Amino acid sequence: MMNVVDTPRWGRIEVDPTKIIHFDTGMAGFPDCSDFVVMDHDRETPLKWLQCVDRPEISFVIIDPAQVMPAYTVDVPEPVMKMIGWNHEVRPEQVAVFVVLNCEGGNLTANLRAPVVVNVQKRLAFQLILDDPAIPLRHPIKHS
Amino acid sequence: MLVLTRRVGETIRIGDDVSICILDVQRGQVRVAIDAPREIPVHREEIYKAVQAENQRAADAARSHDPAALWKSNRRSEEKP
Repeated sequence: MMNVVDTPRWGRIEVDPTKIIHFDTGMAGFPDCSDFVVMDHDRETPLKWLQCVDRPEISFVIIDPAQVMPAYTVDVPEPVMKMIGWNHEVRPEQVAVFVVLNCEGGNLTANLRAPVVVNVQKRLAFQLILDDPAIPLRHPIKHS
Repeated sequence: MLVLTRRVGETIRIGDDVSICILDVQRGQVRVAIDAPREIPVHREEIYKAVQAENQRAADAARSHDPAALWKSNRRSEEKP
């Protein structure tokens, strides 16, 4: 059974409820946005959309950080691991990490400070806020 | 707002399961130890605010821009010798 979500950007889209990714605490600044789906932008770019199901007007452009910063790594604290359903060892194929892109003013930047970590199996996600002030909120994507 | 004074080594308890212990005070800086359940994220205010604002701006900008065009144009400028 598909749910239909009426989005300003894509019109009416069909959402498979078994594909929904749940954020217990929402995205930062969007506490009421807890259910999202990930959609590819197109076949030519690695861009994806994190489309909110609760509030169809909210969507984020996201990308695999390896596309913009090959050396990027995220250290996920244990409480966060538990929160998104990992109690034991985690295999790499169970983890997806995205960073949010901002295209404000026609410049593409990646928010490396607050990556989204997803438990692919359980479809539970969390937007991590990294403590290190040296990690940029706006990493320019010019020379990726 | 509740304002209270604590000495080093003393604790403030918020509800059943959040406690904030004052560890050290030096030259206008206070070190605190925060104990909270894992479902309550704890952040420095300015960092959390910055991330909230960045998410908001990213969501706003996503409505009015074509990210794929920006991505491709960046790629093209990069491929030039």
